Amino acid sequence: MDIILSNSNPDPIYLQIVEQIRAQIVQGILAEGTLLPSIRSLAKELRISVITTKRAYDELEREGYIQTVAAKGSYVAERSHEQVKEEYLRKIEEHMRSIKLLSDFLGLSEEELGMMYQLLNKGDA
Amino acid sequence: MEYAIACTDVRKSLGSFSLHLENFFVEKGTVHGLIGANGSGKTTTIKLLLGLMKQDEGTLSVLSSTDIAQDGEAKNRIGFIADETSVPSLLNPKEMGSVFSGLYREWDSQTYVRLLSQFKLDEKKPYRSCSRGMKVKFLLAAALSHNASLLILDEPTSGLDPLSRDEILSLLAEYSKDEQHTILITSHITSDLEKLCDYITLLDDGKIRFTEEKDTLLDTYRLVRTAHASLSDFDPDSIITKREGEFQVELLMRKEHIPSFAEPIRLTLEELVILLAKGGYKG
Amino acid sequence: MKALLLKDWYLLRKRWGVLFGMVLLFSVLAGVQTTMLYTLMTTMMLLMISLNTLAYDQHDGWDAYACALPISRAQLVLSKYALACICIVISVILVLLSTLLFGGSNLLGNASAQLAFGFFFVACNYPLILRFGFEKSRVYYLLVAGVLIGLVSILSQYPQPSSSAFELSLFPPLVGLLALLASLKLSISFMKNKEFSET
Repeated sequence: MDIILSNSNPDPIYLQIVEQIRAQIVQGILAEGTLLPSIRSLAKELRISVITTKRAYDELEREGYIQTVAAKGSYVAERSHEQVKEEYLRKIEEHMRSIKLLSDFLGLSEEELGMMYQLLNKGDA
Repeated sequence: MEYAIACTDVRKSLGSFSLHLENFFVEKGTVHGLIGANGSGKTTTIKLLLGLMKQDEGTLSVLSSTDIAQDGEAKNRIGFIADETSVPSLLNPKEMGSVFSGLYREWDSQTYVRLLSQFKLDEKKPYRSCSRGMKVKFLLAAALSHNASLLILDEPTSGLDPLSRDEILSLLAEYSKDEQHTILITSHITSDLEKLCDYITLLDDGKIRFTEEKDTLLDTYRLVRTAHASLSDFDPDSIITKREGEFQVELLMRKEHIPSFAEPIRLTLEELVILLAKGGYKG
Repeated sequence: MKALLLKDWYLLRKRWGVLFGMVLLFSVLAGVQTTMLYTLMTTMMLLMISLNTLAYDQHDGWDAYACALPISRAQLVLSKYALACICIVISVILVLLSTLLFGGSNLLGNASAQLAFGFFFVACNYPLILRFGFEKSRVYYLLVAGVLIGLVSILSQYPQPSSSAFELSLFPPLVGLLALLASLKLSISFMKNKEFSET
């Protein structure tokens, strides 16, 4: 697990940790059941306060990405990959609704929308 | 919430100087930095906490002992470095080891010897023949070799070269990994404390200006640079400190008060403390 | 307290070869001569050695350091007094041996004078040194030493009724011991209230 903190990032430090660990869990770099470093070791390695690392872990636990077992430590939560996928699918659906609203207003057809998406993909490739 | 150190309304007068610790608490398991200029009362605070002085008023408890001066048992669990106190200058580490083993209940000579060798200290070299850096390492080795749960360190890194400072700070970071271990460390070298501490207390002329979580402090405030002419674009109430230079004006503001056209710059702890102190920050 | 005496032993063995030499010299002279002077000087020299450890303690900042260690301030004071008593006893033994070796006399008188002098010396000086510091008390204790030596020398010249020689010999050291104990109590109370605020 790598965590790189940035001074130029406007987000508070604990948030940077949350985002990086979350990303690694979602991408599968941190597998389910992996034991995370203790809040104290993490704090000392990153040279930040233990309160900050605790805050980050608390946030990750609240969002369901990790689980803390007393006296053992924090683990990457089970089935969190599934949960994340569901969450992202939900977000995509939300965005789709907004797109539908806009395209209905313009009167775009399904094919025209489809072509726009294909162009977008080609542009990125 | 367990406190390793708790001071309520503690007052001490020394000639023209007076110290007033209205509320000073060090949570167990944390690293607490006490910063301030020379003469701000850091050493006086340390001496009160070690029982080398007695407060004029107020309650002071260290590791749950309210009369630390007379409580020998509690001192078994305190490792310290304090100004104007030292081991006999003619003695060497080996001899001091023998003396300490008869003084501390849980003296750990294995750890002591290991630290001496880690610090590359010659065990036959008397204290007074050691350089400043080696002297501090000698005292630190002693402080870490009797299973202390609280370290009280007064300016342990001042006067040391950067390499030694880093070595000591790493050792302290290692010590603090155990949640039963607490450290109170004073320094006027703010940058040393920036990486190590969980909490920062600023002392100014004998009074506590603030006690804050270090990362929150660093996350809350930002520096903004602007031209003199653009100063009026800022809401004067949102400016905590203003530093007017010849070619620019620097403003200290809370992150959320910064207008979108301004570029927020993160500060180091040292810069932040200087600006907060100038702006009359009261916490 | 053993650890504190060990610390003093470590200090002593590094430093005072010269003083030890002088101690031996004086004890030899004490055996050879008949006046009390060298006898008392032997004790004085040894007490100086003991006092020097106190001076070093204060100068190095050890007395402050020790107060943050898990020992009581009473023990700190006790160890200083104990060291002084050990030194007094050593001086008595040295003069005894020397007197026997060189065929001197007045063994009891010597021992009695040394013990009395030693006890009074410590009793008068230690509380002051502990309270005001070695440097400030320097003149004072040299004065006390001079006065005591003079007193004891003069008193020992007086002829003593041989019948009660033993009881008479016992009296001064006993009084000295009482003074010592009172002084110990005083020193402990001084130490308990001592504040290390000097910069």
